[in-house]
Amino acid sequence: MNLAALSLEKAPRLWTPVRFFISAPVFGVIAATIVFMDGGQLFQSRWSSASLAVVHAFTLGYIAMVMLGALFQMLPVVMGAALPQAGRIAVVAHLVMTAGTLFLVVAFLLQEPALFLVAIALLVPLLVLFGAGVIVAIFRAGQTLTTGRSVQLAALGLVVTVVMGAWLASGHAFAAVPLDRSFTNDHAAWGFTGWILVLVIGISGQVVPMFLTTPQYPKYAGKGLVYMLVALLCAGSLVPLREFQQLVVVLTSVLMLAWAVLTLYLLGRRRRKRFDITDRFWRVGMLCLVLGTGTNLYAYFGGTVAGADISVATGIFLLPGFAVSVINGMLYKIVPFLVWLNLRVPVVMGKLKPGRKYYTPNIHEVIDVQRMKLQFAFHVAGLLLLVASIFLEGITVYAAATAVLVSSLLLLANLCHAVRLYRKYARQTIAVR
Amino acid sequence: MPSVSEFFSAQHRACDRVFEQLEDAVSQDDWSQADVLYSRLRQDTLQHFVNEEEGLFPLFEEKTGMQAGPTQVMRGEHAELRELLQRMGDAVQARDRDEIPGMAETFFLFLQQHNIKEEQVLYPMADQALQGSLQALSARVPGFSASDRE
Repeated sequence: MNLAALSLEKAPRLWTPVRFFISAPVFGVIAATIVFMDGGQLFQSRWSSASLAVVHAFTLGYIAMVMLGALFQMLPVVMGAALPQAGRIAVVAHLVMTAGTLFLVVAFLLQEPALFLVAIALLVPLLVLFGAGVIVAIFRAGQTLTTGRSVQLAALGLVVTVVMGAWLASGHAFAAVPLDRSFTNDHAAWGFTGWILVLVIGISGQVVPMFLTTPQYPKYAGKGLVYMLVALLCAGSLVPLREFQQLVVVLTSVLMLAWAVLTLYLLGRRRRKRFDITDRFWRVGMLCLVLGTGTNLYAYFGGTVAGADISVATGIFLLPGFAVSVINGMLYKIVPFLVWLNLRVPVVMGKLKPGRKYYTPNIHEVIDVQRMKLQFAFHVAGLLLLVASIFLEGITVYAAATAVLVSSLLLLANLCHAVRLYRKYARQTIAVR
Repeated sequence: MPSVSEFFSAQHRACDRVFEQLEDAVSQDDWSQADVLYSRLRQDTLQHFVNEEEGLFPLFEEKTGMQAGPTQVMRGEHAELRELLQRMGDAVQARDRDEIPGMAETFFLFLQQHNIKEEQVLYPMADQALQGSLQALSARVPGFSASDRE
């Protein structure tokens, strides 16, 4: 156990995680732009090049991007030591991540083999190294962190997803490599369950009771649940018997539903009654997890609604609906706090002359609550319109794209406002209250 | 006798409850109740800090030989929390309905990250280091030996 872990001085500078956080809504803008240009074709099939481009803009550009930033913030604390050169590694990792994701998105849109190759060359080493690094770092830390094991398993899930993705992308890039579409389901299952869901479950065990003042999750809803999900995932990928796989899908769905409903129940029992934007985003996220699990199960057993490809609805519910909502809500807790903390570090570390006082804005002044509410409204409207676009063409599609675009731009503006405020007050060394 | 983790974590939870009630009172414009709850929160929180700074931390430093370690970091954070508590109190006194929610949120978030560090790292270490010294701790911390798990 390393004592330096406790020190705020070991925390990285603000810009290290924030550069990743600020990039996420930019990829939201890119996703919305693709929907605009596509004009609605992508809602008809999960296999269209535009659907694949949008999915990867969200999973890599938004979800993985924020995860990387959060890990740069968290790892030094977990490892109990400042990552040497963390600031510079973050700059490079961020550039590679951004460029790799852009290449992959454009590769899907243009179906250009060379671009797939560049994307593979950039993303695979970065994400595999990072996943392996997380696994090793947490083992070395050797603490009994409640979230540690889940984060390790999520990192493993990410590595498996990326390796499978690289194989699929090779199918696009080389004529010699067969493009096995059935493999896509395994890639998606590992990506969503093995990586995203396991990570969210692991983090929730700590974050939800503490920061949203709910009762604790029951013991079995933490590590035990994560182990079961990963075991089912492995079994489903390795045993090619149809009936067995059906059983795996049903059991996994039951676990997902149970966890989502449990989380909704806990959020309903928050002790602080005050409005909390993170709480709202998480409720929407959990509701979408319930719906997405339902549509996935329904479509798996061949169900259709009005002849539409229901798996597109599953994608909408699980990615922008569940994962993006949960992350968006977390950003509104993390970013204002980090800005405030970075402004206060000199004071907390006792580096001020005694008797002097700094004025630091409070956390609500870092990002205004009303602005967060406005962005939340556009986010929810975007989700509803996206789902409606599966059944309705024309104006609905453009309305959906507009709502996602505005929501992303508002999030970007809110995060930029927080950074500007940091710069303003960080320069203003001594102020009188 | 409770363990260090049990006793001090229970004080965290108890202070959290008072804080939550204070927020409720403010949101219902029940200012006389808010004043009562704020002074209770202030008293309980400051007493908890004293329990640590004059009871737990010196014993921990003595047993482990770590003077400039985690206890020093925690003392720095206590100083910050005292100031946040004061600013929140000023806002309650001024009946400033715009300022209170922001100050409360700031206090709450900083307090929670502080509590996580104490509960996940410092207290478990103290549980190990202070085995056999709990009598000495009970002499310095009011209520320690008498209290069972709260």
